[in-house]
Amino acid sequence: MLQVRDLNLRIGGLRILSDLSFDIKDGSITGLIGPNGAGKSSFYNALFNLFPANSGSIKFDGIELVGKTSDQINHLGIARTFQDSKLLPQITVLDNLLLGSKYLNPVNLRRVFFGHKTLKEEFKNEKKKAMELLRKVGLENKAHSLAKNLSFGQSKLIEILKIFMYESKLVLLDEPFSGLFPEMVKVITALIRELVASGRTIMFVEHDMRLIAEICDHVIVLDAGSKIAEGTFEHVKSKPEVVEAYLGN
Amino acid sequence: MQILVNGIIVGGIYALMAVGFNLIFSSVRFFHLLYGIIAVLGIYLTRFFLLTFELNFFVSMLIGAGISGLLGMAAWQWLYKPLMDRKASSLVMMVVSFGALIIVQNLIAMIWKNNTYSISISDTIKEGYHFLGITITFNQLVILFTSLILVILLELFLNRTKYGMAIRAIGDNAELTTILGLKTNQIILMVFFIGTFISSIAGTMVALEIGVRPTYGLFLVLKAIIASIIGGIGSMRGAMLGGLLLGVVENIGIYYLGGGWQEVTAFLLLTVFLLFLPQGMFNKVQVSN
Amino acid sequence: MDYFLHLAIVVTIFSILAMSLNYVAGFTGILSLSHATFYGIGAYATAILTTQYGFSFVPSVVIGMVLTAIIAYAASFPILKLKEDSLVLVSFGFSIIMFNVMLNWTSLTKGPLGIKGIMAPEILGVNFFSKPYFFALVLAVAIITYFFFKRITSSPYGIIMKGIRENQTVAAVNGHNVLRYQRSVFVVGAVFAAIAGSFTATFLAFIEPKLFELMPSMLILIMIILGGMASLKGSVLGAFILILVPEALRFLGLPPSILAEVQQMIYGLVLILVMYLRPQGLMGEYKI
Repeated sequence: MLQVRDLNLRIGGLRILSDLSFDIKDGSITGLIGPNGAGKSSFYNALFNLFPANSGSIKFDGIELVGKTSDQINHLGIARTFQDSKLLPQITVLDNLLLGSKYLNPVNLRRVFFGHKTLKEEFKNEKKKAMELLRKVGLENKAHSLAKNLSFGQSKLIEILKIFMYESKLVLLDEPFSGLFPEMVKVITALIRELVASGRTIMFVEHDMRLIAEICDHVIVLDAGSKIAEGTFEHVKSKPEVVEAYLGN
Repeated sequence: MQILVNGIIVGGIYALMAVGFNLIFSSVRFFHLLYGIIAVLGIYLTRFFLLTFELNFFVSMLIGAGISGLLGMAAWQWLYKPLMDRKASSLVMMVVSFGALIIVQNLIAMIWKNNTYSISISDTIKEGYHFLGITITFNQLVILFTSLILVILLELFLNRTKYGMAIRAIGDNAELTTILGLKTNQIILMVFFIGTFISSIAGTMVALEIGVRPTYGLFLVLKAIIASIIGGIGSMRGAMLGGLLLGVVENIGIYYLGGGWQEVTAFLLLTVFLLFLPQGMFNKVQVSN
Repeated sequence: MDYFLHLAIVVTIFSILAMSLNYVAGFTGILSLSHATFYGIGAYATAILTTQYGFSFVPSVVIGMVLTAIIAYAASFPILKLKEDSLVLVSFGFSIIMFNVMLNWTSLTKGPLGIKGIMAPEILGVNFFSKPYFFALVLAVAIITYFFFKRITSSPYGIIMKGIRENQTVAAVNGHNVLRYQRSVFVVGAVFAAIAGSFTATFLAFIEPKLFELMPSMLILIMIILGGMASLKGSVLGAFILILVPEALRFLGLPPSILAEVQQMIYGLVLILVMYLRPQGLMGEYKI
C-alpha cells in the first residue's frame, strides 16, 4: 500500500530524515516508534508535503506522493491526526467533523448556487453521520458548542471521530493516546479497532510500549531520522540498537 | 552620486527608526504602531521647547525625546501589558496599537493644527557645502552625525553593559517574554524608553529634512517596519542596513519615477523581500511561518 | 428628511462594504487592508466610463466588477502567499500603490482634482436621481448582498472558509485546496466592494483618490471588528454605529474645526474598547 524509498528531509541544514525506506502492507497496523526527535511526526509531515522531502519517493498504491499538495494527497485516500490536537477551537464540534468529510469536497460556488439541491442533501446526510458518531461516544450534546470548550480527552476523541467522516484507505495517527485517562484509552482503542475492521490500514506513533505490543502487528523503529529496526514488536524489542536508542536518550 | 548621498541621509533616519522599533519588537513580538506617532509627538515637543522657551536645539531635542520615552513606557504599562497578561494575539495588540495611534494623531492635530511644520537649527542652512560635486546642507550633516553617534552609543550600551545584555537576552529568547515576571517587566519598560527615545530623535531629524505633520506617524512606523523586515527582524545590524537600503532605493525611485512614487517603491521593496527573502538580510526571527 | 435619507444611503453603502470585507476577513481570515482600493476601482470605472465615454450606469458597473476581479485576482498572488502581519502589510502596500496610481495617472483619473459631474444612475428608463429612489436601489443591492453571502457562508463552503481561517494546514490535510478557496473569496469580496464603489460615485457625483485611501479601508475593518467577525448582521450594525455616532457629534455643539479629529478619535477608541472588552465584537463569535 505504501512504499517509502530513500526518503531524505532536511530543514535548515538539519537532517531530519535520512534514507528512510520501508513498506506498509494493506490492512496492517504499523507502529512507528523511537525516542523524541527521531523524526516520527516529521515523516507524517513529509508524507503530506507540509515539509517537502529533499529526495526519495513515497508511493501510495503506486502513485508518487512527493511533489503533490496536501489536499491532493488527502484526496488519494489518506487521513491523519496531529500530535497536539488540532481541532479548530473557534468553530463548532460538528463543523470540525464536517471539515473532514469527503462528500462535501470539493464544494465550489457553482455548487452552492446551482447545485443547491444535491449539496443540501449531501450536507444533511453528512450532518446525520457526524451526529451519529457523536452519539456513539456520548458527546451529541456538544455538537454545537465551540471546540475550544472541549476537554483535552474529548478533543482527542473528536480527532479520531473525524477520521470516520472520510472513507480513507490509510490513516496516520500521531500519539492518539498521549495524556489520556485509562478509560479514554479504552474508548480510543476500540475506535481504532473499528477503523481496522472497516478495512483501513493504520499507522501510528506512540510512546506507550504496552499499547504498541497490544495493537500493532508490525513495528518500525526510528532513531535520529534513520530506521534502526523493523518487524514484530517481540522482534524489535530484543534488538540491541533499539534498547540503546531508548536508554541512551 | 547625489542620489546616493541623499539616500544615505534619509536612510540613516530610517535606520534609527528601525533600530528603535526592532529593539521593542524583539522584546514584545508585536507591531507597536503607536511607536510612529509618539516619535511625531516628540518632534512637536522639541519644537515647542525650541520656540516657547528658546532653548538650544539639542537640549530641546533631548527633552522632547525624554518625554516621548516616558510615554512609550506608559503605553507598555497601561495599554499593552494588561492585554499581554491575558495572552492576547499579536493581531489584537496591533489593532489596539493602531487605535491608540489614531487617537494620539488626532490629539496632535487638534493642538497643533494639521499643517506641515519644519524645524531649523540656524538661519544659514539653505546654503549647503559643496565638495566633489555633492551638496550637503548643514541640517543633513547634523542628521548624519546624530545618527552615527546614536548608533554607536546604542551598540556600546547593548554589548558592554549589564542592562544591554539583559535586553539582548530577552530579545533572543521569546520564552522569557511570555513569562512576564517583575524583572522582565522592568527590562521591557527600559526597552520601551530607549526605543522611543531613539525614535523621537529620528523623528526630529525628519523634521529637519522635510518637516512634520500629524499624519507622518503612521508612515514613520511603516518605514521602520519595512526597514526591519528587509534587514531581518530582530537584528540590529539588519535594521540599520535595511534602513539605509530603503533610503537609497526610495531616492533612486524618486529620481527615475518622480516624487509621487516614493511610497510605491518602498512597498514594492517590502513585497519583494517578503516573497523571496522573508527572513531578511540578517535573519533571526521569521516574520511569519 | 433629506439629511436622514443621505445618512441612510451612506450606512447602506458601507454595509455592503463591511459585509463583503467580513466575507474576506471575518469568515476566511484574510485581514486585507486593500478593500477601499477595490471600492475605488469600481467608483473610478463608473465615473470615467459614464462621464468620458458615454456609458450608461449598468454596463459601467459590470465593467468595474470585471476589472476589479482581474486586478484582485492578480493582487491575490503576492498577498495570499503571506500570512497574518505580513499579509496585512502587503495588502496595505498594494492599496498604497493603487492610491498612487489613482493620484498620478492624471490623464485617466484627473489625479487629485477628482472627477466631477457623475450622473445619477438610470436603469431601464427609470431615473434614480431623487434620494428616495436611490435609497431604495442601494437598499435592494444591500439585501441581495446579504443573502448572497448568507447562502455561501451557511453552506458547507462556509465551514471550509472558517476552517481555513482557523488553521490552513488542517484544512489542507483535510483535503481542501486552501489557496483556491482564498483566491475565490478574495476576488468575490473585492467585486462587491466595486459595486459599492459604483454607487458611491453616482451618489456623491464627485470622487477623488482620497476617498479610497487607508482611512476608509481602516474604517471598514473597524466596522467588522466592532460588529463581529464572521457575522453579516454584525457588519451592518457596525456600519450603522460607526456612521451615525460620529454624525451625532455634529449636534453636540462641537466646533466644526475639530469635528473631523474627534470623529477619528472615536474610531481609535472603539478599537481599543472592543479589544479590551469584547474581542469577538458585538455580534460575532470569533476572536481575532
